Amino acid sequence: MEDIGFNEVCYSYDDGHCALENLNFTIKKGERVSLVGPNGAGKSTLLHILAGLYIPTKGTAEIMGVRLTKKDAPLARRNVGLLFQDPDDQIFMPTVSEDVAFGPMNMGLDEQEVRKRVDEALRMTGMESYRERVPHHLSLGEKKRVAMAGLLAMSPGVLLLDEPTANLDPQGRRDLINVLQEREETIIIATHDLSVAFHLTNRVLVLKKTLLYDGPFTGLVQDQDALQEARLELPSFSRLMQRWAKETGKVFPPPLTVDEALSVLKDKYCCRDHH
Amino acid sequence: MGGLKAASHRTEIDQYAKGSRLFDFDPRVKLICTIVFVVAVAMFRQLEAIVVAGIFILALMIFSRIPIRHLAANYAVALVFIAFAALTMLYTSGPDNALLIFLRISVCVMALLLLVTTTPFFKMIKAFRALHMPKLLANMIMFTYRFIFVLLDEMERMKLARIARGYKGGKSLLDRRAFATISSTIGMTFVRSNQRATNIYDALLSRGYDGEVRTLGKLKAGPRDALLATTFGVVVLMTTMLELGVLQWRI
Repeated sequence: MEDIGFNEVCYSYDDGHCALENLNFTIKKGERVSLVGPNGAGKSTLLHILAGLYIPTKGTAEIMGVRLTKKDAPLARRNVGLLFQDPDDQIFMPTVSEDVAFGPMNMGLDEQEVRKRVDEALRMTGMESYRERVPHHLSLGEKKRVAMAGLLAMSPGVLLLDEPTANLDPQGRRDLINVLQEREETIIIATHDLSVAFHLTNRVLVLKKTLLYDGPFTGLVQDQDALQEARLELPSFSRLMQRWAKETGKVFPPPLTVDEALSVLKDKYCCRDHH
Repeated sequence: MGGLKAASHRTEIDQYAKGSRLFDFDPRVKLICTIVFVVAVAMFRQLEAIVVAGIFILALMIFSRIPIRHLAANYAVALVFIAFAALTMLYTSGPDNALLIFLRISVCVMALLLLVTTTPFFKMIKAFRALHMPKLLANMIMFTYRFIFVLLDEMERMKLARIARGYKGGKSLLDRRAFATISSTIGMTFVRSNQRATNIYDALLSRGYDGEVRTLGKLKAGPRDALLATTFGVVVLMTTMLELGVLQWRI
């Protein structure tokens, strides 16, 4: 079953600048997809369309069965949660718990249900002890987790994340990845950080105004043209393994995570020793 | 531009509200009592009435447990304007009227200060909405308060960036370079504010915002709110009677 369907979608801003052209893709329920591309590729614009905040200027977009039109955009938005790159843009309320409650309150839920969702969302993001804190006194990583809790409390079918690990320290990055790994929703992550993309998703859309590539990562890491066009750089261990393969003549599927790389090294190094 | 601090280090006017004895009172009751009190005092012309009103407010301030230095620091901001009004009156109407106006405005300001320092800002907005302040106005005030610290942080970062690039400031505002730099900073702040406002509105929409800001917990007035209202009522009545000469007390 498809959650999202884009058919020949184009988007131009009011000043005439064309941000997206002829996008065609579908995303199934529960899929995890990375959206990668250079700066100015249109990733944030695409996320805004997926969130029901922008309406395509051409083509048709469907989000969880709702066709994206000006009239039906509010309905489409109910099924989607967007995590903004700057958490200060989406934290409005005076305390953490009130901010997390903001979305569920707007859904018309009764107070008991709202409190239950707030408790659960704070627990999932490890922010229970921050309940009465003032959001603008928190660190960037803490604010991102509060923003994430605010989305999870709404239980959307689709989670959209705009550079979720940008400017986070390694522990903050790890905390956010741990939260996302446990989720079962459809997830779309716009990111420059390929190691996060490898960890959390299994399909990648490479965007540069239009789609350059749509498929698994194993295909992307071997497509040097697409990597160059999109100005992407593989994680250092992936590049190390590629060079090792080239210089030693060993053949193996390109590892995308540290565990995969270790597995290849053990396998190939052990095999080499036996010869 | 000197004196800007990061949001986390700024003092907020309601930062002591939670520890105050007046915190748990219904904000609607506090707001109505304060408005009635201020309107009454603003019309007083008798020194005795204003003094009694002032003593009442001072007593409430002590009762509230808000640190005196916090109240004094915020009063000091208004003092400049109060003193200016009093000095003007001194030259036009003489010392008695100057003293009257000084005390009258001071008592009104102290009553309002007491309200805002003992009531969290967002609860105040809730009280305004309960008293039918237009939704749009209430939301504008709320979001301005929420994001002004973010904007001040951005201005602080711009200031540090200028210093890091060797900017030393001009000798006066007539210094063309300084004037141009400050103008650019102000302009850029407006540009960034506009961008941020767009992002915030998108974020509001994505979380189901429909023009109304809903919060957990309903406002509930109880017996002690009735006691507070009664106390204010009695004081306003007494001071009005003093003003009208029904009660006599000479200073």
